[in-house]
Amino acid sequence: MFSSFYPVVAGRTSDIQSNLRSLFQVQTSKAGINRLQDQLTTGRKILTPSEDPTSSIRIMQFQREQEFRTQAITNLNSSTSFLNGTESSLSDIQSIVNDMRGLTVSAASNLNSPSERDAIVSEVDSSINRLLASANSKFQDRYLFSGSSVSTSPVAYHRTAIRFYGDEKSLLTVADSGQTIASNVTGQRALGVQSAGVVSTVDLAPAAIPSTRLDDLNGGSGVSPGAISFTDGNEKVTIDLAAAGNLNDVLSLVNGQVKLGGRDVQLSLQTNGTLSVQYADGLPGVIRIDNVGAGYTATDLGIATTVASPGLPIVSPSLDPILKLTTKLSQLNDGAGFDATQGFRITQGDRSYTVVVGTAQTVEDIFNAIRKSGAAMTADITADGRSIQIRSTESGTDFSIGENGGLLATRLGIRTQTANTRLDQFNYGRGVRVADGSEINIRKNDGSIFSVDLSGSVTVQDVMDRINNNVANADASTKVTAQLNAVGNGLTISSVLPALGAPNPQPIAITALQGSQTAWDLGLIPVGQSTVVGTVTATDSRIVGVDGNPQEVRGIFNSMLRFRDAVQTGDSGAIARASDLLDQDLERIGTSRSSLGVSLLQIDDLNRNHEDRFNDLKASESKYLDADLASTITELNGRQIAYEAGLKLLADNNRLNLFNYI
Amino acid sequence: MSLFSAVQSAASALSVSQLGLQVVGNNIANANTPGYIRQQLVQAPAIGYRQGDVIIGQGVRPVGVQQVVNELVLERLRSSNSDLGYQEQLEAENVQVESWLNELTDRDFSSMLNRFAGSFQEIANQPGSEAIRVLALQRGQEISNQLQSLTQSVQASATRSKQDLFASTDDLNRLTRTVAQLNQRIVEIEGGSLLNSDAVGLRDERIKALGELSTLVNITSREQTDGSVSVFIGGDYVVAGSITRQFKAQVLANDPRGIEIQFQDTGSAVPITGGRIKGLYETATPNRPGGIQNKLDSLAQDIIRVVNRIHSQGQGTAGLRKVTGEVNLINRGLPFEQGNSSLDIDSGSFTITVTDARTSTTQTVEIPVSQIGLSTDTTPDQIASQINAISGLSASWSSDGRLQIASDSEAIRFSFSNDTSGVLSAMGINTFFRGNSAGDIAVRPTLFSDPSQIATSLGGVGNGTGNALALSDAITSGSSLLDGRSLSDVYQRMVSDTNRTINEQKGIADGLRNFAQTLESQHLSVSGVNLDEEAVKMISYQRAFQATSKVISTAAEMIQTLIDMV
Repeated sequence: MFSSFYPVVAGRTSDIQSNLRSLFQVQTSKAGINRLQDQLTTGRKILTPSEDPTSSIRIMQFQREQEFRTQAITNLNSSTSFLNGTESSLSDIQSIVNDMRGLTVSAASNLNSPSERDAIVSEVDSSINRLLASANSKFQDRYLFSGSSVSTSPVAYHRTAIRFYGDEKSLLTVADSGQTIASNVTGQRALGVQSAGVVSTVDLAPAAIPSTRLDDLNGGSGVSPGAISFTDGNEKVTIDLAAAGNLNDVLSLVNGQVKLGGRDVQLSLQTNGTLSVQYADGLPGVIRIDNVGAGYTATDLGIATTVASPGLPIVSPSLDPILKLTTKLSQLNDGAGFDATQGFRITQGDRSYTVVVGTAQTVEDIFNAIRKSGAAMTADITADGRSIQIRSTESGTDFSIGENGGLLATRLGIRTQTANTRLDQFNYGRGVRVADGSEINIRKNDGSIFSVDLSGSVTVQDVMDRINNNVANADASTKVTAQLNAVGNGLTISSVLPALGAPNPQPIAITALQGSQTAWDLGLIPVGQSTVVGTVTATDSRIVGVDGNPQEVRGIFNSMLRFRDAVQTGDSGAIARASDLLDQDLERIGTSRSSLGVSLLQIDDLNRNHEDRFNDLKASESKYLDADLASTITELNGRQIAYEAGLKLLADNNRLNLFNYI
Repeated sequence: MSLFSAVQSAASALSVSQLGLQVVGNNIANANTPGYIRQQLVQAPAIGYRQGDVIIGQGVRPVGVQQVVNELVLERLRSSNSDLGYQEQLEAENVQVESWLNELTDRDFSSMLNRFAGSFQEIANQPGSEAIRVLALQRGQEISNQLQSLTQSVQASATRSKQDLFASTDDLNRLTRTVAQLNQRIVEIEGGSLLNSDAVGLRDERIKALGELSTLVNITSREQTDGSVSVFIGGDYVVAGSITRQFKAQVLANDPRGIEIQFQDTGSAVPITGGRIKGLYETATPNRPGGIQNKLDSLAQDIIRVVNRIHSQGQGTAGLRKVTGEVNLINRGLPFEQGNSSLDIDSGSFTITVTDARTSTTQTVEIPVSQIGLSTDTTPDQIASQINAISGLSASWSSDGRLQIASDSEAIRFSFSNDTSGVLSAMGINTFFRGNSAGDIAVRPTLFSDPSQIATSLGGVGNGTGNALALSDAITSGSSLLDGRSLSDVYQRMVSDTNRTINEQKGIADGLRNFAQTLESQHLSVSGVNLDEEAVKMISYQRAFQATSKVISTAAEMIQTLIDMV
């Protein structure tokens, strides 16, 4: 603001001084009027930020937030339209699945004639096609159920099964400052297109190597940056490790830099991934290692000492690095590595894929091998960085992961049937049907038969133990041995060939007793038969069972394909299972729809909140930025009067002097 | 004593009254002449003579015409003019800065930043749309263009200030010569007279010239006994009597100030601490710390650093076939911190993922970067050779020292991720912006020709949007790269700093204007013409003239009486 006033000088005045003074006042008034006119015409109190820096900062913040909220509203509206599109597709899908669920009830009792079956099959087929169309529906050029692979059609027939080609990622949109919401429902969540992950059941225990990043240690919590100190009680050396990025940096910073009592202290990283500290000469002495200040670096590296005279070498516990794509197989198992030469085998439907990982060096190489095998499987590292997990993306088929003559699948913890697999998980979770009393008879190579009572067995190991440790199965020359299949999954029952000249030499055989279904459920005897006879090879006689614990994708396409197959084969048990599966699907879809509804409600709330806040912000901005018309006009009137008075005074002043009177 | 001598002394009184009227007339004539200093006739009684026991006055005599001026006020006025000249130059510059920034409108830079962030949010809304991706590029270009055009305006104005410095040097030379010439003539005319104000018109001229000089630079002046004025800037004399020192504007190479006014004789810098020229020094060097260009550059560097650092770790919708770094590296056999110490690189690593479409395999390689102050630290050459060692990729240096990475086949594509060292963005690989100041910031041209390279995904090549959200966050919500602040915060801080400076400066300028006005008023109250006063004087002279005439006529009558007696 102009100051329109400067002090009057006491004493003499001159005409030019009073002229200038009047002129200054008139100019000031005029400038003030111009300013007020600017305010009136622009409607703004502050024309340039420097007039009122404090208010302008507030205004800038208000404007910034308004712009942010405007964009957020746009984002939310865009999400709303995608979610609405998703909702309408889901509603279609739900009604189709509902109809099919109804059909399972009538199908169960109407499987008599082939024409009836054909009619149901064709109805199921057409429903599957409608479901495919809905699952592949697009909104604004975006496939709704393919996760972040928005331009990939999510599901399609692959031979007789249906495969999923999208991903499971949520598409996040900015809903508010620091808040995002998903603008999509993933295919997996709504429809079930991937199997549950086969997650490694064993700790892969990767060992740290020099190039392991400090951030990846301690299960991903990392090492807090800071310094560590070494002392022998007399001398103290502090090493700042804040700049170190990986263990190699730590080694470089410590080795050669720490001398206690004239002796070099050596830090080394051992093959098993632990750090070890001792004097380089290998002789005894005192080394204490401490954190510096409030740091935790030495503790995080596992080499902080707590006693006055720790034994040398000081060895850290495992540094526990997370599993990464680049983790070498030789790092696993605490640095001992695995034998990967045999690979493992994935069975999917009627096809088997051998995953050859002979030259694999890293976890990623295993994943590549799975991809290359042709199986419809995805493999990744679990979010916690501890395990690998493998999932099937093919609906309508069974899958299993088994060995290929080696032990890799077991070592990696991804074998779907192991000795520890519980029998109640068998047969899609329906379990192995075990009745009290003897279940199976096993004929040994000498033709003698012993009964095995499987009641009370909990795991596969129990079944194998009941056979292997049976009192009637103790003689080495006639011993029948049960073990897991060397290739694929299932149980192998074998026996050496009978000695030449032995009485009644026969191949081994298994017979189910009294209509027991246990052997069917365990995969020892083909379903529908009561006896299986072993094949005789050059060295032994063996019965190779099938996997009684197949895995599958749980989802609408799986249920529908299973339903169709069950109708085709007239298997009423399978129809009942399909009916249960469709119930689960309806529940899944229902849950998705209700959470989608919650999302839409939440978006409504957010939108309303944004609009309210936007209006508040506008009001606040207006308070600081906009001119108050009433006060501006009043002030303008005042200024005009002052201006007029100034002009009149200027004129009068100039007119009046002594010359008028002489 | 005789009646004739009475007539004689009355005659002197008549002429003094006439002189007085002339001075009054001159004052009235110049009542509105700017810079005119009112004059007054100094008169004194003529020296009397002794006749017997009495000493009889001889009438009145004019001593001289004197300028009425308060030198102290004038000196203070000049000093405040210097301050005001400085502040008004800054003010003129600041008005421009404000209009360039154009804040508080919806065409200002903060809105552009918000639109830039919004464009990344839109990508998250519609990750499959290439049109939206291109929009993000355009928004980025909008920011670059705005920074570049601000830079051009600032530089054009700085150039004007430099030209103005040359012109002002000529003014300095002209004004000091004028003062020296006037000094000489005043000394000649006054010849050391008592009143030191005989050369009235010339003195007015000199006061005007000194006033003009004081708005250009800080001067002090001291009137010598011979009537000449010595002028000093700081402790250096520039006018002594009729001698002046001349100035030259010297272009300085390798100096951020660019130009300096020096004495022609010694070549040393003129110690300028005030006046318009001091303001020109500042407006000619917007790159100085706290200068507007400096602030713009620092803002641009923050934008480039943060956006590039985030962008360089993301993946586009398609893998890369070939990339060339934007930054020329020197001393590639030395660790970064020695050979290219200006780059911001930490210990850490970055990840390259190579995808081969023929075998549908991926290959992930983590390349470590050590910057721990040892001679074994990572060098640019080591990074290149580690990338080169990845099967399917080759890395080489362009003739001007830029890293080139290319895949061996069309089927092999690569992408970057998880760079904790910052080495990718430091080398200008997979970045969004190129350049390192407000003057040369631009969206990397490759992105325009291939928008699929805009790295908006974090989870691998594809339509993921994790990185787009990270970019938007860094602009509007805050980033660890800026200690939790956002780029909008950084800009707002810069603007509020600037606004506060301008506001303070305006306050100082207004205060000084008022002060100068007061001093001017004080000066004019002493040296300006008051017509009423002149009217009074006129009447007094008239009355004195009439009375003196009466004395003469009385003396004449008395003489007549004596003659009649004869």
